[in-house]
Amino acid sequence: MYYYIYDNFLTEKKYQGIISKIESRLTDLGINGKIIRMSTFKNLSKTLNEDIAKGVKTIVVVGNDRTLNQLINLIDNLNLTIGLIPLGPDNNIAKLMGIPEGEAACDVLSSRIIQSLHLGLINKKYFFITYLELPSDNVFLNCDENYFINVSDYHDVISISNIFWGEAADKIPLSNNSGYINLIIKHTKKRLFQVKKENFSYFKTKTIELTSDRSVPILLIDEKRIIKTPVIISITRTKLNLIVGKKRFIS
Amino acid sequence: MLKEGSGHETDTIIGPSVKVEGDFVTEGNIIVEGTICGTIKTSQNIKVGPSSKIFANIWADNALVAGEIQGNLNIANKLELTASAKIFGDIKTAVLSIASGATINGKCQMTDNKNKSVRPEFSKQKKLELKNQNEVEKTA
Repeated sequence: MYYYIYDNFLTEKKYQGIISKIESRLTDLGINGKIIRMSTFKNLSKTLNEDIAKGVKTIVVVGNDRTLNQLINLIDNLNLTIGLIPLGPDNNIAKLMGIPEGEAACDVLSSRIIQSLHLGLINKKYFFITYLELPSDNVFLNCDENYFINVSDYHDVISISNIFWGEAADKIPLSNNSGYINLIIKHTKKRLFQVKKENFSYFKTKTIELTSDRSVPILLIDEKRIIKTPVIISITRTKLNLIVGKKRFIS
Repeated sequence: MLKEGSGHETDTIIGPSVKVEGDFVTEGNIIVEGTICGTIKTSQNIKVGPSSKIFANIWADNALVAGEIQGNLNIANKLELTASAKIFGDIKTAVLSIASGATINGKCQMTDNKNKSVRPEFSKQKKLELKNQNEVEKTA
C-alpha cells in the first residue's frame, strides 16, 4: 500500500496542474494511494505512526529536501520504503538519487530500485540525510573521543556530512553514504592583488562532539534549520530505504 | 609509495590551518600539511608536507617526509626523506632513502633482518680437533 505526503507549499496555485498530472500517472501505473497534506496545525506524526502500525509499507514524499527531512523525523520506525516525487525548489537529494522532477518521478517510483542510506544523527534525536555547515570561530571538535581538532583561522568553514555535494566534492576523495561522517574544513587564503587560494582538510570519523564557548549557528542544509551547540553528531546503524533512479550518483 | 595524484585513496587530509591533538588512529592514507601533537597510527601510508609540524610518534607502512617531525618514526616498509625533512627522534624502518639536505637527530635502526649473513662457526676448539685428526691420519 502506497501512502503519499504532500508538502504544505503544494497548495499554491502554480503546482495544481503538475499535481493533477502526477496523480493521473500514478493511477495509470496502479500505485496510487492515500494522500495526506502537511500542515502547521495538524499533528501528522500521530496519524502517520497509526497508519504505519496498520500496515503501510511505502511512504512517498511529494515536495523537496525539507519535506523528506521532516518526514524522517516524524516516523518512529525507519524500516519502511520511502519514495520521493520532487517538486518545488531545493531538490538536491532527488538530483543525487537520480530522481527526475515532477511527473517523470512516477516511473522511477514504479520501477522500485531501492538504495539503503545511512542517516546523520544530531544529539541522538534529530535525523539528517545530507550535511550541516558552521563557521569555525571558537569551535572545538572532538572526534571519536580520541583527538581534538582546532581550526586556527576563524574564516574557515566546517562541513559535517553524511552525503555531500559542495565544491569540495570534486577536490577531495569524499566517501558518501559510507557509514562514516565526513568532516571537511575549507580554508581560504586571501591576499591583496593575488588569486585567493583554497585548501581543504578532510577527516572520516564515527562521532563528532562539537563545543563552543559561544552560541554558534549551525546550518542544516536539508531543512535550513539552525541548531545551537553543544552538539553530538553521529551516524545511525539503521538505514533508510529510498526508492532511487538509475542515474543516481550514490551507490 | 605515495605519489602525486594518489589523493583518491587518501582517507585523511590535515590542512595547513588545522591543528590536531590526541591519538590519531586510522586505516587509510594520511596527508599532513598542518600540525599534529600526540600519536599517529595508520596501517597505510603517510605523507608529511613541507610546511607541516608533527610533535608525535608515528607508526605507518610507508612514509614520505618533507616537513618537521619531533618524535619517533616506526615505518614497516619504506621511509623517504626529502631535502626539507627534519627529524628529531629515532627511526625504525626497513628501507630508508635520504635526500641531501635532510636532517636526522636520533638513532636509526633498520628492521629488515631477512638478508642478514650467518656468521660461520669456526671456533678454536673445532680448529684444534681438525688439526689433531689430520696429524693422526698422517702418522697412521
